[in-house]
Amino acid sequence: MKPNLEFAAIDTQLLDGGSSSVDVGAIERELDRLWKAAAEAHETERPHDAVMRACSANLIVITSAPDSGGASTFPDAAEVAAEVVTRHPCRVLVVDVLAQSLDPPLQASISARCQMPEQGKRICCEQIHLQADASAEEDLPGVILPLLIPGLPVYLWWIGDGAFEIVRYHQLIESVDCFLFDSALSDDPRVQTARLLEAIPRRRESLSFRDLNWARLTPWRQMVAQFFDARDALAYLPLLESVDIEVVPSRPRRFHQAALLAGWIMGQLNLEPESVVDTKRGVMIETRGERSVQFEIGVRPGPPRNALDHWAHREGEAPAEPLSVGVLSVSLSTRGDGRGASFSVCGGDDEESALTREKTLESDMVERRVRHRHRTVARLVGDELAFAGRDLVFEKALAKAADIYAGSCRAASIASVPVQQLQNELIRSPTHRGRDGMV
Amino acid sequence: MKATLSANPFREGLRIERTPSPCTMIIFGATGDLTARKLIPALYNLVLERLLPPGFSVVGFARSGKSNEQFRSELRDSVEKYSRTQPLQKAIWDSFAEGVFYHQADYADPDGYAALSKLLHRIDCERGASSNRLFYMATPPAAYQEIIGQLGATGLAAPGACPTGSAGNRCGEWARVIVEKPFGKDLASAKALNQSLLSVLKEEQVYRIDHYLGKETVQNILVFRFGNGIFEPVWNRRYIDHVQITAGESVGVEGRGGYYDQSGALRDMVQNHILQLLALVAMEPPSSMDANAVRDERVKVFRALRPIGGSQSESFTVRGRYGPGSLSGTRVAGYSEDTGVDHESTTESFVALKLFIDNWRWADVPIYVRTGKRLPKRITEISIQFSCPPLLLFGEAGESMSPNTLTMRIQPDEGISLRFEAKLPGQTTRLRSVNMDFRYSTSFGAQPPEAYERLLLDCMLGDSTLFTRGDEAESAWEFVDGIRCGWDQHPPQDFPNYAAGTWGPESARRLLAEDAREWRRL
Repeated sequence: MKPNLEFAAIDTQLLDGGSSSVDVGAIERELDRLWKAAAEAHETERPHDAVMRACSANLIVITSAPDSGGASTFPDAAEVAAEVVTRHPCRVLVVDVLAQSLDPPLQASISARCQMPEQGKRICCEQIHLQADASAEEDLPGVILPLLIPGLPVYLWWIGDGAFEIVRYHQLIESVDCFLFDSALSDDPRVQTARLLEAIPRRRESLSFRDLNWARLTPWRQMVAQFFDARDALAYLPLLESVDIEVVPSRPRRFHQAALLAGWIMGQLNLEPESVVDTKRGVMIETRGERSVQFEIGVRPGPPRNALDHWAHREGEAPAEPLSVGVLSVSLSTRGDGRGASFSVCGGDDEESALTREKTLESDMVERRVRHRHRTVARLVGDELAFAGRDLVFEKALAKAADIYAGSCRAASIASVPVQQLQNELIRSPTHRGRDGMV
Repeated sequence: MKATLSANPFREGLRIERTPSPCTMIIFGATGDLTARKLIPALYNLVLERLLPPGFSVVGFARSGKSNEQFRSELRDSVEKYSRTQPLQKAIWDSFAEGVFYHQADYADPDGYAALSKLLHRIDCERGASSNRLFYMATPPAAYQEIIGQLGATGLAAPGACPTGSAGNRCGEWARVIVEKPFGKDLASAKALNQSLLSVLKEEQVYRIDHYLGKETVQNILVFRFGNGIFEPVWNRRYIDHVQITAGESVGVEGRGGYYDQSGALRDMVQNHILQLLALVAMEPPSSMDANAVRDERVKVFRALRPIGGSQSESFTVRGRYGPGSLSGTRVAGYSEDTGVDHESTTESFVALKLFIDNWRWADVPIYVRTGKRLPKRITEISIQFSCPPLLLFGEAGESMSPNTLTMRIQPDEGISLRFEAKLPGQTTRLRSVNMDFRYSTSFGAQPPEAYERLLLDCMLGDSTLFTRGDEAESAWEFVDGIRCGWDQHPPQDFPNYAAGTWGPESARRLLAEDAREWRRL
């Protein structure tokens, strides 16, 4: 059969990363054309370089809402989504809601994101880019819903502040299995925490909420948990007396990450905060119950390090995510029989590793360096896509964090430095590069 | 007094369920190839993934003299060469290497084990390794019995041992021994080895490793069969016409002629890897995923294998040896030209078998297996060929119908595909076979761990599901010994009988052709 040269031209352009504007009402038809063209072109021109379309989920990426400053808050959403699909093949729908008006008010383009594995065929995922101005925003669910591939899970990733503006898209929420957001981008984590706690029980039982800021804590949680896998070390946990969490001095908003970490420890040990006292370094929390455990969350004393070094672009690697910097160390101390045991994790200066230390009655101080690399946003999102269902541990930690906020003025205030202040700071940095600035 | 918790509360909801308790791994044969190529890179990758416990230590035990520093430096080189993750992360390696020690001793020298005991005690005190021990037999099999005997005599392999004079130190909860293949060379030697192991250890302390079982795709066979509702109802003699298992290697004996010539394809591949694949395909659903429940079902398959012996070996088996040939455009030498090969030997480099499992599920379903060296490509796959529909409804068009085939590709290009018939678009009814394909590389972008990573971790966690139990190894040898016995009565007359770069001898093709079947084109 004679190849359709027009299709072949489309194919070459789109498979190489270009995009093509299409009519909003004909997106699915244009995608069909794209894949047919790709197949025909490869059959005739590059028969050994066949293309395979892969899809195991739907990923909707909403970059902004009109009242939070437009798409500028996350200019590279499409690129980050493209990185996500290399590990989790998805149909991606990137939705920009823009403050300025568009003509027409709702526009669409399609593109293919391809990779060539070491063996086998070229693997491609499709990306649909929708742009809407405020007047067309209410039409978005009606455009998005028919484009979801049936039978596959639906993830909605909200980029930027005001994640709970998503309630405006209630039609869409009904079809979503997992809602991803990043509390590190929130102007006011305290308010966001309250709204999230309010939303969790009201939504469908199966709808899960995932906070990328919580996901950043996973390595910390793993390292803390690992101490207590050993039976002897586990016996020290009921004797816990104090928990000390240090956060980046120049990043007061990172308090929220520390609050989640403290909330997690409290939640898992069934500790209830009783009093929250502001201190010079941060806050001190006493828990009530059978025994009292003292939690201190404070900035690390001493001169602030150059936190922006954390996300300096390394050659050959995707840029690390700046907001990964928050917690610097956590230590748990206990006293039993008059002698103490301690377990601590401290982020390494090389930003590739952390140092763990364990001292118990049974052994000398055991130190080791473990890998602790900051994960890119794409990696964080990808990791969340690998798991389904509600994260009840997160929900419990969040509730405890809310208790901390409720008891402390300082916790509330240092957690709510406006995002714009952080953005300005990042832009001023000499190490800042375009793609790194994902804030 | 310390109160106790029964489980680690911080593990709830974490995606890594647990890590092993602190332990020391002692590698016998630490200067060998296996340590450099597989074990240390696997441990390094486990460290990177934060899957090893604090205080984890390694002691290399071997005969040649070298310092800790030399040993560490050699291992670092091997990680830089063989690790699946590159480049090496210096800070992590340096921290890991602090817990790596070298111990020079002869395997038969009791003093060497006494000194090892002292070294382990020192490591326990300094690194909090808890007296838990993992002994890895990376030596030639001839040394196993000696080492096990010495471990028994010194009490090093006793579980729950407390280091002598170590008040205040943690007592060990476990001591485990990993035994590399080959686990014996026949039933008698396997029994002797089992006896030797079990005179010192309990069965639950012994981990007989078959690295095939650690491959992601092999583990997926059970998930595929028992995690999906649609396949198990048709997974029986009523719907399956036959099964084919192919494990092809494009490499030859590659300088290992001395070892391979004593072994051959039947012992080297069929007794372990291929029979394990067969067991996973054919076993009944276990009552749980508990190690013994799974292994009980695997061993039942081996016991139900119809023995092939005496004159039957001519009709049910094919053996071959490659001669010179061409592979990927390169001329390659024949088997007998490899160094270490005895020119008088009749060792086979290719085996094809027709097997039957005499049980309710598989009665009269032939299972064809083939494995060999210097085949056209490296490929391992299991192919389930379903029976044709009872009535051909599509006239002439239906005459070209192919049976449905479910293929599980173990390596490379790991995945599962289902072939079925579809109508070609057009005014007339014409059929065409099409494939529904699942590929790991497209559905899961993450790089799977190496088999040794999974298996070492499982052993440290005390999970023996992916290891071979003693009775399993013996049952497999019993079956293979029958074939070997038949072959010994009829030495091959036509070796070499296939050219390197081909799919084996003509008789392998005939094995299926006599049943009006053919090997899958791979």
